[in-house]
Amino acid sequence: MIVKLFIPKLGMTMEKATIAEWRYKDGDQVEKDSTVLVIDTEKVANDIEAPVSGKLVVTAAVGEELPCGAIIGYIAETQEEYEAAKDGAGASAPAPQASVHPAAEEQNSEQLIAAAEPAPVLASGERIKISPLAKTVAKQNNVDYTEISGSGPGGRIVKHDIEVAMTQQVVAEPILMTACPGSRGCTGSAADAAVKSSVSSTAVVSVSDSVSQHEGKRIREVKTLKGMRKAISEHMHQSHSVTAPISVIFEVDMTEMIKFRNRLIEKWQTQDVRLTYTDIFIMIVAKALKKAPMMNSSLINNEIIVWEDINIGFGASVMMPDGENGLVVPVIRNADKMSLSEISVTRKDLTDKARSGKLSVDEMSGGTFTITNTGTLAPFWHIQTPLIHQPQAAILGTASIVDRPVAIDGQVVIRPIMPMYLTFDHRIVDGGPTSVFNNQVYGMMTDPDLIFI
Amino acid sequence: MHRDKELQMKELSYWNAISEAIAEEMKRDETVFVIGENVQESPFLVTKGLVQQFGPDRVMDAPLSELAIAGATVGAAMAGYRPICDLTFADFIYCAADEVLMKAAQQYFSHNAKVNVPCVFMGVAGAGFGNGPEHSRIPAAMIMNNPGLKLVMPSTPYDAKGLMKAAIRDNNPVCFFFHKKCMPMKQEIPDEEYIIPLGVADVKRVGSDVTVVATSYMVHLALEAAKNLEDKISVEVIDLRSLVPLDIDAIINSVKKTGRVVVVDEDTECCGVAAEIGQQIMELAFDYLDAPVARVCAANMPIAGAAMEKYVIPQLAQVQNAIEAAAGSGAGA
Repeated sequence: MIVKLFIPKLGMTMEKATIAEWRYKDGDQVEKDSTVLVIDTEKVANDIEAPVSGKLVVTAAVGEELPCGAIIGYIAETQEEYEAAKDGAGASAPAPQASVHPAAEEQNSEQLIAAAEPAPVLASGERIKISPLAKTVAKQNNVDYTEISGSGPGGRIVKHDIEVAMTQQVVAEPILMTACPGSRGCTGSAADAAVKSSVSSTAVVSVSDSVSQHEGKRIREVKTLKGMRKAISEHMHQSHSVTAPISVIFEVDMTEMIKFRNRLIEKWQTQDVRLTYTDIFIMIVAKALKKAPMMNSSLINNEIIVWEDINIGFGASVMMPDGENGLVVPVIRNADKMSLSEISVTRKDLTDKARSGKLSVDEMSGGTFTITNTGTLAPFWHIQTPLIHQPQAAILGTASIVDRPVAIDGQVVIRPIMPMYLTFDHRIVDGGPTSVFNNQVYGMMTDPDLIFI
Repeated sequence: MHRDKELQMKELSYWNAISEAIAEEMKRDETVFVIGENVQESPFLVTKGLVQQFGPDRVMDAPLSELAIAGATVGAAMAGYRPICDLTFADFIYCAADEVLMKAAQQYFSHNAKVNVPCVFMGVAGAGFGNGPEHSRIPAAMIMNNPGLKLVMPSTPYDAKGLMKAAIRDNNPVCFFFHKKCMPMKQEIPDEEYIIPLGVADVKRVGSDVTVVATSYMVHLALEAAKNLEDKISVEVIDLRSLVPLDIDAIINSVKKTGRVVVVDEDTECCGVAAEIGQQIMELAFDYLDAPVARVCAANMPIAGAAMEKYVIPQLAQVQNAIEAAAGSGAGA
């Protein structure tokens, strides 16, 4: 029996993954449930386990980026099946359907989802049928037609299929304008780099071994753009490319908010969770969004979709396995329907998961608004102009609480001041709804009693 | 076609448009004359009434030998006249083949460009009346395959008149095949003189999903098919009007727009008009094709007579099916 290995669909929004590492070589014997390979998704790394025991056939190389459902290898139970799978490279898919099912039942549910997805990619070696026009359009728009299924006669890819793929690309994922990692191995245009993204990442490393300078500058280290760094890079660039961002900056007097939080901490003491300002801000933002619904929207395909759900994401700084700093945005769903203690417990749980790398793709999806706090990064007065988490309408930032002189009743007094900053997409909203939102936030921040009114 | 609305118009039938063009040119130029079998009576009407107007010296009945008539035509043309040779049925061009293909077509080249052969070989062409294998052909591919000849195949009265005048004035031998099925068609055409240059195609219907390149009467099948399909497929119909010279630019421009093309021609499929056009499209617009070039032509069979004719000659349903197949899933979506 031969069992196919797929790129599993691990979350609702997951479209593709990159092969990060094969734990076994082609031809190795693998045991059921052992980790065969690791894939990088848009947000996290995932282990793929062997659904059965057998001899491994590897058909996708490390660094290859593939859509969910794509075949990446096989596990063959006998030597004959192993050789048949190698010969066909999957083209003749020797496993009869019936014999696959018992194995499929043993797969975990995620792999079953992947198996149920139609595999859009032809097995390697098989000729792709594509019309000359479709090929031209695909090239002009940097669409990888090897990952598209054709709707024309005999499965031929026609222009329409490319156009559909282009719209899906725009909605579902960032445009792949991979940043050039600063090596001689990457001399083409950004568009070229996007097409070759999977190839260039390996090329860069090999070139860097022999090159210690680039354009007269000495190189300390060359890092391949991959995994979370690649996801952040693409996402930020896409956000910067498609939005019309405007940042509004204001300060709030935190005198009442500090007292408010201290009172709540006294009254709600649990062993595990300590109420943070972030918890309160999430609640305030959720309430402000109800008053300014346009701020809780997305511009998708020439339509502004105003969301009923209020799902607040919050930026969390994490350490990646390679020791590099990374950023994830866990999402608290329906934050507007939660009590403060529920928000706090959920926030704590998600933060812990983020730090231990255990966040699921779904726990980072579905946000409608994001908040970010840079207070812990810099304990002095500062502001930032954050990029909007796509496809949302705005992002709200908070900074350090710093004692500052302010004028009150004609007197200069010292007060604990916190700068806040909101970046909004001027394609979606103008100053009107933005000021409604900001006034709501400002009101609740400076007078927390308003949270309950 | 663009016509000024202020022009004086009159309704003419296809055959009458042709005879009017000949009469106008005979009036304009004394070297123009007609020669053929029974051209004074004119069973197909295209030279009817000319003998009364211009006399038997310029509307000459000839013996029943197409080769001799064509030979006289070529000789007169080389001597400075502009003869119009009426072959009656276009099929009879095979009888006159040596004079038309070897002499008329090649004299200019044989004599180092010193001798022109300005003449018109006209004949009624095409199927539709069950006339059988020797009276139903439209021998377009054979003419295209013999360098030195121009070829005109009008589909409407307006085009027929303007193209006939251009054919008579052309300094090269021009084959002018008019279609039996078009004969009774009527159209408002201007009183004022106009000429349609050879080698300019006409977009008879504008569309965006599929291009249909058609010739002669097939233009009308294409237009009917386009109308029947208009709710789901936007069809552009290009009437080539003349096949030599071929307005390949018009075809390519349209194919670049639609990416899908069906060539409809009434001549035999094998090595035919559609084969040549399809190849040129492939050479010039390969990267713009979203579907294979399709063709609808006469089957590779002698044209059967009577009720069997429709199994050889392209029919509306075939044209329609070909357009739908070419449109595939990508069109109209």
